This record gives sequence, C-alpha cells and structure tokens, in this order.
Amino acid sequence: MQTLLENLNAVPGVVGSMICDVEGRVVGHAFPAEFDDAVLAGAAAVLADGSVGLQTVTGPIGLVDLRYGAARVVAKPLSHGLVLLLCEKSVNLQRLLIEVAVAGKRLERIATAVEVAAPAEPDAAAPAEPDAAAGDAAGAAPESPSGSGKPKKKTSWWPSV
Amino acid sequence: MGPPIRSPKDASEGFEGAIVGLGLSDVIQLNGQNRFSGCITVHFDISTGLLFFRDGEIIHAEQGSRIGEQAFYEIMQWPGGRFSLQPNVTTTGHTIKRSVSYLLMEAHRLMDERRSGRLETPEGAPEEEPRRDRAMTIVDRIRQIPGAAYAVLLTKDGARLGDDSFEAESLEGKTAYLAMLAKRLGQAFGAGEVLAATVQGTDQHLLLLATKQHHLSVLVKGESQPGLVESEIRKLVAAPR
Repeated sequence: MQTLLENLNAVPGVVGSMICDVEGRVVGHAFPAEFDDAVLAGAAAVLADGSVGLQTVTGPIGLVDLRYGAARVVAKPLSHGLVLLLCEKSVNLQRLLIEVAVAGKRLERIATAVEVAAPAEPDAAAPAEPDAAAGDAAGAAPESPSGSGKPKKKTSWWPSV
Repeated sequence: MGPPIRSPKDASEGFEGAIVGLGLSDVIQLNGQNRFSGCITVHFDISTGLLFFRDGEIIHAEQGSRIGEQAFYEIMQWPGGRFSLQPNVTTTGHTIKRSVSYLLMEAHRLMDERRSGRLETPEGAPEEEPRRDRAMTIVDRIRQIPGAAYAVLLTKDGARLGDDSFEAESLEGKTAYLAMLAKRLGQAFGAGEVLAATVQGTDQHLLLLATKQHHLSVLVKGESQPGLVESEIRKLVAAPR
C-alpha cells in the first residue's frame, strides 16, 4: 500500500495521500512528518462524518474537490472507504485522477481486506505492511489506530462510482 | 406544527416542518427523549442554525460564526422558523458537554433576561449590503446557465439573500453543511480559506464558490459537468455590466 500511496505522491503537486476505511479511520498514509497521526485521523473522521450528509444531496459521491487559498484537498471514494490527497493549488487534477484510477483497484482490494480483518482488535498496533502488491490484500491492517476510537454509528457509505 | 413537508428527493432521509405553535424547545425535548442521533437544521428568516444530536444529547451547534452553547442560545431565541431533521448525520465537533435539560433551562433564563432588558439583544440580521441587488441579478443569471439546477447566494454567516423559496431554503442547508466540512478539513491541514468546493454525485453535483463576503451555492444537474458550469459562472461574474 505504501508503494501505491507514494506513487500517488509522485504526481507533481501532491503533498500527501491516505486511505481511510468506512468508519473514517486511517488505514494507511504517506504524508510528510509534520502531519501527525492526530491531524490525519481528524481529517479522515471529518470527511467520513460529512459524507453521509452530502450524499443525501448528491446521491452516491464520485469526487470531493476542495480548493483553498493555500492547498487543494481531493477525496475519491472506494467501495469500502476513500483515498484522500492533499495537494498544492497548482496540481493537475485530471492527471491526478488518472493516477488514482490506475491505483484504484489495488487500493480497493486493500480497503476491503482491512474491513474484513479490522473489527477483531481495532486498537491493536498493526505491523508494517510489505510493499509487495501481492501482499496488499492479505496483509493490510490499520496503520494509524490512534484516530479510531469507538466505532461510530453510520447508516451508509459512499458506494464506488 | 404544520404537517410534515416532504421533499421528493429527501423523503427517505428525514422530514421537515414548521415550528409555529410548537416551540423549538419542544422539538429538542422530543428528540432528546427519543435518543435522536443526527442533525436538526433550523431556518429563521435569513438565518440558519445547526444542532447536532448524539443519542439524544446535543453535542454541537453552529449558527453563523458562533459555535457551541452560544450558537445554541442564539438559535433558541428565534421566535419561529422551520426545521429539517437528518437522522444519523454526525459531526466531529463536540463543543457542547452539558445536558439537554441544562441547555434548555439556561436558554430560557437568557431569554427572560433579554425580555426584561437585562441583556442586550444579540446582533440582528446582517445589514443589507450595498451591492446586494447586483449580486441577486447575477444569481438570477447563473440559474439560466445550462446545467445549473438552482443557485442561491448566502452571506458567509450562512444567511440566505433574497430568495424565500423552498428550493433556496433547502440548498441553504446543504451549503452550510458543505461549507462546514470544507472549513474543518482546511483547518486540519492548514490549507487556508475555502475558495471553492465541489461534490460530484451520480444524481447531482453541489458547487460552492466563496467570495470575500458571500458563498454562492449552485446545484448542478447530474448529467452536466460541474467544471463547465463553474467556468460559465466565473465568466458571467467577470463580465462587465
């Protein structure tokens, strides 16, 4: 998973990327050190919480694109979670979305595997995951349990579009 | 309270109604007793307030730039309005720790004090801006852009300008929600002020454009490209009058 995230980070203008599960927990990330686990967990939770209300407006969500004075945040739903990218303002969104699509299938396998594996010990520290693509689905586990907390009630999640 | 009014689109997600004849405190008490989890959006005149419940307790409130108990008390002193309930909509904000009973009693105490003149009345509706007419003209023209299903102009405090229709009221609540989400994510990442936000969906897209004083919210038809609609809007706004 780390390799996939670092590939996304290689797109010019991408600062960091992370994958969150359906409960808004960070599954894995490739962010610079100044973005600590608490920041990433908070962002993931905000997005997960907000998504439920937003999809009552738009139907199943395909993309969230937030532009700020100093950055751009892009979130793309997976079938069992989402990938979030923090970018510079100047990022080429079209190119980024192509890269996300290329990585998407493998990211979805990871998210699916995590959802199946995670509920037993949600707060247990997870071992570092090997980069091998073949190990993605089998070895994936939450990398940042600090943001998990108690599972939240949620009636729905973003289906993949 | 009038009969619940259902929007065809949102019929499955909650209900809406008027608060005339039934105080907001009654609505809050009922939802507290029913251990409601979700969001109540309250509209009064051009203002909008958000009350978030978790298991019957109020955990967060927003009204304009106010949050927490101050927002709650502000909403409570509105003399009437309309509300909409969105079950299971949650928030990461947890600005209120006190019980519903305490909040209601404190709200009524503050209202009594205001009535007796011991407290100043909170700020009224925002003053009408000098360029409001021009802004509303632009909104009318934006609604004519192919692909734009509806558009509404709000102040950054969430107050709707110049449109009392049901569609505008509905879009106002959705815009407040998106603006709140974008603001929180921006704060988390230190990304600066929100300039624009787009949510692309299969049914329709929600587009939020921020200016110094306003939020322009546009509902874009699902079959249209929000990016194209946005560029048309920008052309229109930039065009000399």
